[in-house]
Amino acid sequence: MTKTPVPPELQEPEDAPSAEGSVSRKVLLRTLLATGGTALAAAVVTGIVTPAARAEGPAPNSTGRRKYRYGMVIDTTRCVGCRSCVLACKQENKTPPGVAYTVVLDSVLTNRANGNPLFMTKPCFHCEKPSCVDVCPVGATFKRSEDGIVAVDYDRCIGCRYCVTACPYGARTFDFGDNYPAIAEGTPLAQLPSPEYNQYRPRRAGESPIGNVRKCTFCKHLQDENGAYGSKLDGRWPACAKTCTGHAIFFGDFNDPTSEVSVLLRERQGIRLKEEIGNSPNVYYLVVR
Amino acid sequence: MQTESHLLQVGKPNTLVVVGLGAISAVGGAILIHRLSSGVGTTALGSVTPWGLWVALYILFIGLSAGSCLLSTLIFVFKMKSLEPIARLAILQAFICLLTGIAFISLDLGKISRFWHPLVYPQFSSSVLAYEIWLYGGYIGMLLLELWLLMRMDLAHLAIRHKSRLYGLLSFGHRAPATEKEDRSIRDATTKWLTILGFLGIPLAIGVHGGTGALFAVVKARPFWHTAIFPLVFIVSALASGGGLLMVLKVLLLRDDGVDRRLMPMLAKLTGAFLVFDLFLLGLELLVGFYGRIPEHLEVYHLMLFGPHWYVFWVLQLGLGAVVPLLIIFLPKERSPSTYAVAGALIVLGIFGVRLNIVIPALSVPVLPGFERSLNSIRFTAHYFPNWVEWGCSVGVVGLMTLVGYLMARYLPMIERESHDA
Repeated sequence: MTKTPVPPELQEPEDAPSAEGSVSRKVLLRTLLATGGTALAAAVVTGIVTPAARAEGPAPNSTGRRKYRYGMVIDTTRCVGCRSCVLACKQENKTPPGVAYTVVLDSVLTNRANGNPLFMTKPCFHCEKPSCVDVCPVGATFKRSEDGIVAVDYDRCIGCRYCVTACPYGARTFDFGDNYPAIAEGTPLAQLPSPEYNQYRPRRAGESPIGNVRKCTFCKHLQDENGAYGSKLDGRWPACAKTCTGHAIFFGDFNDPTSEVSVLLRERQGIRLKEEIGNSPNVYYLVVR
Repeated sequence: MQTESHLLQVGKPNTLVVVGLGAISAVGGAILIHRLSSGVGTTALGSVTPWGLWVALYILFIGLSAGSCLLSTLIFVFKMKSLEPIARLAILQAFICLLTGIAFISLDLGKISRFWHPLVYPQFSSSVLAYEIWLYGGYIGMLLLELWLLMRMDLAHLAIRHKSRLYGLLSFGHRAPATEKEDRSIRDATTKWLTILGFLGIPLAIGVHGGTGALFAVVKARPFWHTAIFPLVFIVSALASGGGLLMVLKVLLLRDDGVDRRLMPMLAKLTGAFLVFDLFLLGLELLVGFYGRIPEHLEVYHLMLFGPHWYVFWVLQLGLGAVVPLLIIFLPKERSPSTYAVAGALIVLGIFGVRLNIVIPALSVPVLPGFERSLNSIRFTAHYFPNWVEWGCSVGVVGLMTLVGYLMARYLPMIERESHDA
């Protein structure tokens, strides 16, 4: 299938041909190793290791571009700072204390004319060039080739927390195994598993995701079999976006020029946090009306 | 008899030392079992400061290992005769400290049972840590080979003398030379192979610890770590701390044999020089950090220098860890070997402060302002301080590894025989 070209302001010159950031690095590394003659490492890289071969679902389409490029546009002028996105996320993903896939920050942008805080809900930005994916020693966290969602393989992750230190946006939290009193082990509510990644893992001491790093998945479990989401109305939207009382969080596919998020970005000036470090997040903030 | 007395260096360990270290290991071991059965949740770590004491100790011990390995190459490659009496000690220290470092980083894993994942599923396309873990394997192999090459003849002799199967096993069936000529040819071969391994050891040890520095340096989310000088700082402070520990262990574990008067000032001046270079690099870091005034970068220095744990920098790192030992080493006055050992211990303590200040302040400044306040949880705080589980496990691991190292130093021939004594 072919998609209408994405408007120029949405295009990422750096990531155009390759579906995955790691591919170019791999090629570069191979070249380096071939010329450098580090025979052992080269054998290992080419032979034993094929890290990103684990993406689930449909392969990237024939044009080499991802089928979907999910992201958010967050209109901070509509946000009242109620933090129901944080709560909705915790409820949807059944995250324990200390684990949050989105938090609300109030002091990222200061120096405002009226002196009021500017609230920013901050999910994972599902960067085009995610630092967390680069550092993982076992390839347990990866950018999905079909929709750009940065996911964690709970069965692979060793819990070293390198990605937590490497994420420039604080999108990752570690599951230390703490529990809310109401859902402590043995209580009936504790039987409710998290729908994350459609895995429905029961929460038991010592079992994943306890001891793993956890993060926002854009509520990937709400996708249909083709990887598409619904709308705010039918409920198959990331929990934070669909619960937002002021309708400040818009979610959609940046590859689709007619999507709400694409239109919003075309019509209004969006900003991304720490633009200068080049991670190229897929979450934009609108800060002026 | 000269040769006899040298062989007697292999002897019974001091019961008091063994019992003491055993007791420390046992207490630490109990806390260790608590950590292993209940998970990383038993620590004071959180998602704002995901690394703490154990990661600091990990880089401290990897540094102690790489430092003494690099110092040993001065003997094997650059033929520094005066350091020869500590060749075996340096390699043994490198080996034990590497194991200790690996123990600490394993302890820090959320899924300790998956420690083998980086070996089976390494992400070589971009992860420094994956390379690092594989390097450790090669490095351990090299250290063990060096240790065996250094000791094989003496082990073979010991096997005969004590009729011990264990020594025979450790010498890998290496036969004790029967004639003077054979003895000399084996010695020559040993020297040749150690030179080759020493050459290999230079890039390997630099890779092991420069790589540990690179682990931090590649993290652009933390400006304090993200400098090209960082891996170099790791190597230089490794040399300083490695030399410091060698000074301590030389005095504690090996007998004087009349070499200390020459050896100790030599080793101390070398170590002191590395420490001065380390301070120079620290000065460069401070200059660039304060001059740049990039908020996240500057905040780390403010926290380090004037924060609640200012004493780690001023007292441990600078006062006790640098000024005092440098005065001991470089003031023109004759010092006893044990005074030098004290200076060495202080340098190690100072580098421990350096390691704490590498890990903790950088993480205590959150990546986005107000992030640490965004969730009401004990796991969301910028004020990390190690709790009793972290301290207890650390004491246990260090105690246990010291005990292993002590026993190895007692039962293995740590000093070369002067000549063939068949």
